[in-house]
Amino acid sequence: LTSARYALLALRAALGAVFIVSGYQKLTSPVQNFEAVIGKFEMLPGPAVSFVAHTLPWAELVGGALFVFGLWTGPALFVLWAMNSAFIAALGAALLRKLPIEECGCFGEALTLSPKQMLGIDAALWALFLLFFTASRRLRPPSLDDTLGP
Amino acid sequence: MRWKKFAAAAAIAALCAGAVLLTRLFAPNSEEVMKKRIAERSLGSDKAPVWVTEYIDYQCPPCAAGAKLLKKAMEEHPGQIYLQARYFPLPAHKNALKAAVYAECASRQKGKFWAFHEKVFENQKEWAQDPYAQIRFAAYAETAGLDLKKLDACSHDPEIEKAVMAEKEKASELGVKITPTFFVNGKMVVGTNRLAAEIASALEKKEAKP
Repeated sequence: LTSARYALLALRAALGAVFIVSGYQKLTSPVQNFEAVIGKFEMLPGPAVSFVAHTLPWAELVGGALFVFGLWTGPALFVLWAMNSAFIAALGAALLRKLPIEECGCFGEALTLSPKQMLGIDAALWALFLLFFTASRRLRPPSLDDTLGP
Repeated sequence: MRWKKFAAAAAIAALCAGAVLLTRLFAPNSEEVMKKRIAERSLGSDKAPVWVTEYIDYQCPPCAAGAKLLKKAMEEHPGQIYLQARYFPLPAHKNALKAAVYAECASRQKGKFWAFHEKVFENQKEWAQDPYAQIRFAAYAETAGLDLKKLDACSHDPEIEKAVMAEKEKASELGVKITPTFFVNGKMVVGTNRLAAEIASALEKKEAKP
């Protein structure tokens, strides 16, 4: 039982780390790069593109960090999972519309991935979030939530 | 105990913000790099009020569109724009590095760079997927009036590829990731959508050169 709890802790840390890296890479690169990437998906009007480019990486970074530490785990899980679902929708729509996107820009300069590859990774992450959500209801992995109390 | 959770969350958020701000603090200043001049790959007078530096991948279609747009802007505003071309060949484009190497070799034959640069962009579809693209580059070079013997020797010199990659490395340090990326009087513009508007705005302001 204890090892299962620690496995869940490792899963939570890994899922959070993905979002930390993704957010950090975007935040330490000029925002124009991410604006251009969002623009390529042709889903949002100009001002919304700029708003999302400025705010989403912070949500990824802080949400990911809170999730890693297990602080406000429930809300952090909801935010990360919602972003993950939105990425799947955006990538899926781009592929269906055959938009000329060569690189998804999801990880800034750290990793070059095509939309198809990224869609596969996002789908896998979605499944891992589901696994964490289901398993953590029975086996509570160690977290700051438990340490600091309600 | 609730305040403890708020304090912990604030500490985590501060840690995140600190890491980002610290990284940004040590990022190179784009205006510093804009001061450098590459005479062989520049067009117009460096006294012009608007300086545009383009980071290009010869195999990227929006870069070809950007090059056309810049040519038009320079014709419409003679003496107002100073243009510099820099290389940023993306690994996903298999002939982009080869094209940049040939362009660099063209730039080393005085006054021949821009004619070759235009030919390569004009015929992008022809050579983009060609495994023997260098044969096509040599043909464009001949049309552009380059010395083919010198070009051939230069294109096999490993130092040229190193120079191209070093330029790309410097651009990466500036945060360039996508092509085309432009700097209009030091302001970064990614893609061609906003390029015309930024040039128009810079021309309106007639800002002092960077």
